Amino acid sequence: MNEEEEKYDLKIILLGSSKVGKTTLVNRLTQGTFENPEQTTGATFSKKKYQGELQEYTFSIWDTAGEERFDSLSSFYCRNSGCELILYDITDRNSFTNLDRFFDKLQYTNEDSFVILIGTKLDLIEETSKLRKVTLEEGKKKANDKNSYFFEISSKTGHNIQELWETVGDLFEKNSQKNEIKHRQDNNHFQINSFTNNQKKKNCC
Amino acid sequence: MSRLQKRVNEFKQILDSNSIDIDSLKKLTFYGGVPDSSGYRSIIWKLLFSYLPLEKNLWIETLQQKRQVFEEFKKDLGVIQFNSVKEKDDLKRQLEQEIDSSKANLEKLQGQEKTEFELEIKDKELRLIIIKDVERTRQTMSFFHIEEDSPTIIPKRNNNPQISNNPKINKTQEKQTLNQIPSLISRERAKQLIQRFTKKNSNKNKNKNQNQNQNDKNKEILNISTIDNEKKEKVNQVINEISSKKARKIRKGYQKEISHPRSQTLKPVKSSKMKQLNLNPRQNSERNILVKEIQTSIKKNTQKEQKIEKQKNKKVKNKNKKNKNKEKPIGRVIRYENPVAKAKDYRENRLVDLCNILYIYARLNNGIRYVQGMNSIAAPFLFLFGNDFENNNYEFAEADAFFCFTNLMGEINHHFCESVDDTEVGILALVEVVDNILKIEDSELWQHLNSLQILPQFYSMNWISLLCSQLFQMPDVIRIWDSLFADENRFEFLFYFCAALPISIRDLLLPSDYFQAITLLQNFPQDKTADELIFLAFNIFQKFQK
Repeated sequence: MNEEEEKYDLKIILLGSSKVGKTTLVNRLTQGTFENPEQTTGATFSKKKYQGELQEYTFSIWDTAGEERFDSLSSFYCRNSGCELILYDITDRNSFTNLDRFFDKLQYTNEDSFVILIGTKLDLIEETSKLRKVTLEEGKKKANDKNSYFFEISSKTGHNIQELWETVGDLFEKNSQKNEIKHRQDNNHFQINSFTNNQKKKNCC
Repeated sequence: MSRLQKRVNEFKQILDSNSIDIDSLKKLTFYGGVPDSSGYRSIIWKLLFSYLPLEKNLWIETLQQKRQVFEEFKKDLGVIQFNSVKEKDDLKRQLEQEIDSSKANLEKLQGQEKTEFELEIKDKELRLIIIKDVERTRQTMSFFHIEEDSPTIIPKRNNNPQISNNPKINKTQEKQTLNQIPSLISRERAKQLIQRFTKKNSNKNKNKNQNQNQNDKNKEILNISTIDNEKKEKVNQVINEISSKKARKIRKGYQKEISHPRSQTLKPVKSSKMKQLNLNPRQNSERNILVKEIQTSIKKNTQKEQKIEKQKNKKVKNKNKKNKNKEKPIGRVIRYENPVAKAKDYRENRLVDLCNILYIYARLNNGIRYVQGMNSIAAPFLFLFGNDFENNNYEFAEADAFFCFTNLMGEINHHFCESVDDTEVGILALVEVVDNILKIEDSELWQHLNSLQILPQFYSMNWISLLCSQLFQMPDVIRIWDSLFADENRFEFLFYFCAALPISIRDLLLPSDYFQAITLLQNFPQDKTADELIFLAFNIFQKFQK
């Protein structure tokens, strides 16, 4: 992890097919607005503060391009990420069936990172349920299979956005507590662990 | 003689000769761009991409041929067609449904049938992604807006240079366009229908239209294809009263005072836009009639839209608060505001045009097909040619933009090709080139960015691959592209320009931290004009040439 990235307590990365609402979710989270943005090429960076129980944290958010062409390029954005939000559009079956492409990316992320599967555009369902192409159960099942958390949200109305953010924060805090314990344990076996860690790093690069 | 006038004359001199001296033209364009007021830009871009031959006497023929070719592409490959936001959404939903059901059926099939089926799914997916991307291209620009809902079917605007306004033929044409709605019928059936209609059309048209062509041309210039025939007649009546020459004078004279709700202003359209239409009382009566007619025809249509516009404005206002710099009024756009043509634009469907440019390009170039971002590259061409009143070419903006876009893509398709990413022409290598220029030119800034560990990919990849088209407002993009296109070793100057961008904001970047710097680079400040940035890039460019 580079020095500047270390300033951020958690690196969050958004993944998902084109036009499922990644940038919209980021805008909702960071600015509280809803608009229809131009498509993302490459990846864009933003940050948001999270008020924990004891202290305030800053999370960095990387919003990636959804198209396959950017897959190989955006894989390096996944490095060191501690939280992956994988999005699909509940009114677009395709965005759901393509999800495995993004779960495959988790190999580039941190080992202890957590994944949240998110169905977007819930507001469209409220008008007519006809539009729903992926049922709540299917979403839950998928999340269960992939050992991840699950939400259905609407960036337009703000539905479940706060809950999502709280969950991200909670999971982060739990994770860091675990890490602390682990870290202490690690220190006891300092020599062995540091050796294996170094080896791992070499293999990665 | 003013400096501007002098410059326009220099362009005039080159363009007036029968055989165009492309080298001098490139030089002249490269340093300083094409003056907006000259109206030469669209010709020059067409020349730079070899869409127009250098021999002037071949122009008319070439244009006719190529526009014809484009119509044939459209017939052969099918088009994306919708007339309103509602129809667009319906089409999207329909495509989604068909893709789903086709996929479900796919498993039952085998062999030849299966591959054909797969191809069809791929084609539908292509259409869908293009529509989805095009609808979010330059959303704040009225040029790319379409009506929310269309009560009647709009006859497709007469694109084919060979087909006149003959009502009989228009009917067949309309049928044809209707039948071309791709997803309603199977592809084979469509082919049969198209073949039938093309045969009919070509036979009929050959004899009838050639004589009429010339007469109709004048009408077509001012012809406003309305939804409502009544309105069309009204407006036509007024237009007929005025000779086309006079009308042109009026258009030119009043460009500045008339602001159409659909006109291309960079400011968000104000809710009081109808007020803007209220004209100067000093205008003469002809003008009055003309504009009033258009006004009424617009008024009816805008009532629905006003509500939507208002909602939009709210959003835009919010956006403005955030990006005060992004939305700035730029005077030179005023040239595009043209009451007659704008009333036409209002009904013209540039969104569909953009879809079809991309769709046909993707179908003809299977290696690359469509990649996100191409929409941003095609849009300025369509915008420029769609506002090309001086040469009355705006009717054929779609075809013209298609060929220029194709020729441009021929030179930069490696930006979009994943398989060459790791080679020396791949996008990552180009990012490196820009980074090296920055390193040599402004080592302090480079060092700073480097110490922050901001990788050049984070910002310049987007700038290079999309030729800065997402970075600035449309007029600025067009001005920058003048110099990029007229570059003797095309797109070498692009690297210097991209390197100049961070340097232009070095005072802001140097004291900033990781987040601030990356935010600045990814949301580039809009307070410098295109000319200032290009000037800076020239200085760097010239240093490196020595």
